[in-house]
Amino acid sequence: MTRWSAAILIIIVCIGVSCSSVNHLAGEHARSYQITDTTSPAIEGSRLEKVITPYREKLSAEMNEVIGLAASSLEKGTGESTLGNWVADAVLSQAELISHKFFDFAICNSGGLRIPSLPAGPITRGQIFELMPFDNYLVTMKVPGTVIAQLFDHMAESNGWPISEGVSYEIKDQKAQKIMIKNQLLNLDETYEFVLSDYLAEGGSNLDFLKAYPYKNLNIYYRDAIIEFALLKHVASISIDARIEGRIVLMDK
Amino acid sequence: MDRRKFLHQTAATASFAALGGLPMRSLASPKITKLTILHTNDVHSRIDPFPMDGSRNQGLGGVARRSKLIDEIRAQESNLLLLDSGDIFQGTPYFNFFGGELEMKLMSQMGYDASTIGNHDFDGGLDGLVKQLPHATFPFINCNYDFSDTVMSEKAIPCKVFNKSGLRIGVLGVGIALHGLVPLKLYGDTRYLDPVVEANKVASHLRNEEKCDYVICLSHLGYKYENAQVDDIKFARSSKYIDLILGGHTHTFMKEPHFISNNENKPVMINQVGWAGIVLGRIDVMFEKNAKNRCVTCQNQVVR
Repeated sequence: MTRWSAAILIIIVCIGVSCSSVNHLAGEHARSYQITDTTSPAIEGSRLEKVITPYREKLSAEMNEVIGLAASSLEKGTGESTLGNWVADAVLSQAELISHKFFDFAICNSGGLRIPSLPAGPITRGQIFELMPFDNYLVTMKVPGTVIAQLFDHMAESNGWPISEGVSYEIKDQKAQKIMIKNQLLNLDETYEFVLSDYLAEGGSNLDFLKAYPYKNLNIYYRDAIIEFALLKHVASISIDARIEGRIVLMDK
Repeated sequence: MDRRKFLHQTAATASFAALGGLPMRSLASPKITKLTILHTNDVHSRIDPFPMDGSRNQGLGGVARRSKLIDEIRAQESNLLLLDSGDIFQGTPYFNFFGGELEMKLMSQMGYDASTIGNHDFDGGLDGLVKQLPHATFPFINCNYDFSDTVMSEKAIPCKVFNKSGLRIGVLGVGIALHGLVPLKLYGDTRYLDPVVEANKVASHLRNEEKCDYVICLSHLGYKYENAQVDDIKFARSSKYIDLILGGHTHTFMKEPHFISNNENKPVMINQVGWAGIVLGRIDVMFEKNAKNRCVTCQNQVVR
C-alpha cells in the first residue's frame, strides 16, 4: 500500500520588486494518503465511530437484507457493460409488469450508475442503494422516431448509455448508426415508447429535447424497480447475471 | 511557468530535509511559516469503508479512519486548513434515510474549515440543504450561485479569510452549471453566474483588499472536458490572483497536481483526489516572512 502516492517539491523564484507581500510564497509540496485499514487500524470506539453507530444500526437491518445472488461480478465500463445491461433489463421488466404492456426499450444514463461493480455473491439492498442512490422515479415516454434518433446520438456522445436487450447500435465519430430496436431498423416515421427516469424525462443529462413530451410516472423509484426485479428472481432461485452481447458496438475503439 | 521551478522527489521527508539543508549564504536565517492544507472532494455520503465484498474499492475509505489520520496530522502541524470541494451528499443509504445530517456532523467533528457546494448537494432540494446547515460548524463557500431569491439566501458566503500564524489565507468557491445537470425543482430560483467572472472579482478582493498571502479556490467545476464547458483547466487559465484550485465533480484521481499558467502567466496549482473519501489530499505551502522586497530562501533554492 503506497502511503504517499505523490510527492512534489516546488521552488519558486521570486525576483526583486515583484515580491511585494511580506509573506513570500517560498514553496509548495503535495502528497496524498490512501485511506485503508492499515492507515488507521484502531478506530473501534473512536470519537467518530460513536457518532456513526446509532445511524448505522438504524439502517443495518433493512440494508443488509440479501436480495439476490450474483453469479459473477457485474462491471460498469466504457460502452456496453454487464452492470448496465442488467440494470436496463431489470427496469424494462418491472415497467412492463407494472404497466401490463410491452415497451420498446429502457435506458439509464451513464452517470446514473454510481459504483464501479457489483461483486459476485450475495447482493444486499444497501448495495443497490449505492448503485442507484437517486430518488428518481421510473417513467415511460412516447416519442417520434426522429427524437429516438436524437436520443441515440446523445447517448453516443458518451460511448453509449446502458440499454435493454433487443436493441443494438454502432457508435462512430460520436454518432449512432445502424440502430436496431426489437430487431428492426429504427423507423423515423414510427412512434416509440420507452422506459427511463423522471430525471432524464425532465431534461436531465442535457436531454432538453425530451422536455417537449409528456411522460407517465409509474410511481416507483428507479432503484426500487431494480430491487423488486432482483427479489422476484431471487425467490425463483435465479441468479443475477448479464452478458455483453453487442448492444453497443464502439467502432472508433 | 517561468516563475516556479519544480523539483520532483519521491519522499516528503526528503524534500523537507532539502528545504532545511540548503545553504543560506551570509544572510540571516529567514522565518519560514508552513501552512498545511488537507482536502477531499465528492465524498458522496461514504461514511463506512467500501465493504470487503470483492468489489473494486473494497476496504478503502471510511470517515473514522480519515478522522484519525487528520488528527495525527493536526498533532504535528500548527497551521492547518481542512477543506472539501463539494458533493458531500448522495451515494449511500445514509443520505437517503438521514438527508445528510450525519455527513455534516462528521465533517464538523473532523474540524472541516470550509466546503463548497456540489451539484449533488442540491439532491435534497434547497430546503434539504438548508435543513442540514445547522449541523455544520463550517461555512459553505460559493461565489457564482446567486441564491438571493431562495431559502439559501445569505446561507452561503462568497469567500472567507483564515488567519494562521500571521498568514492570511483566502478561500473562495465555484460551482458547476446546474441546467441540464440538476433537476430544476431541486435548485429552484438559484441563478448560475459565470464562475470565471465572479471568481476573479472575489480573488481580486481577497488579494488586494484583504491582503491575502495565498488564495485557494474550492471548485466543483470538474477537472477537464473535451468540449467547451468550463473546467478547472480553462478556469485556471482565465483566472487571476488564485494560487490553488482544489477540484471535484469528475472524480479524478490525480497522481500529482497539475500546473496551469493563469492570465498573467503565473502558475496555478490544480489538485483533485478522486471520490468517496478513498484519498486525503495534502498540500504544504511554505512562506518566508521578511521585511525585504524579496524572498531570500527562494533565491537560494533555485534548481536548474
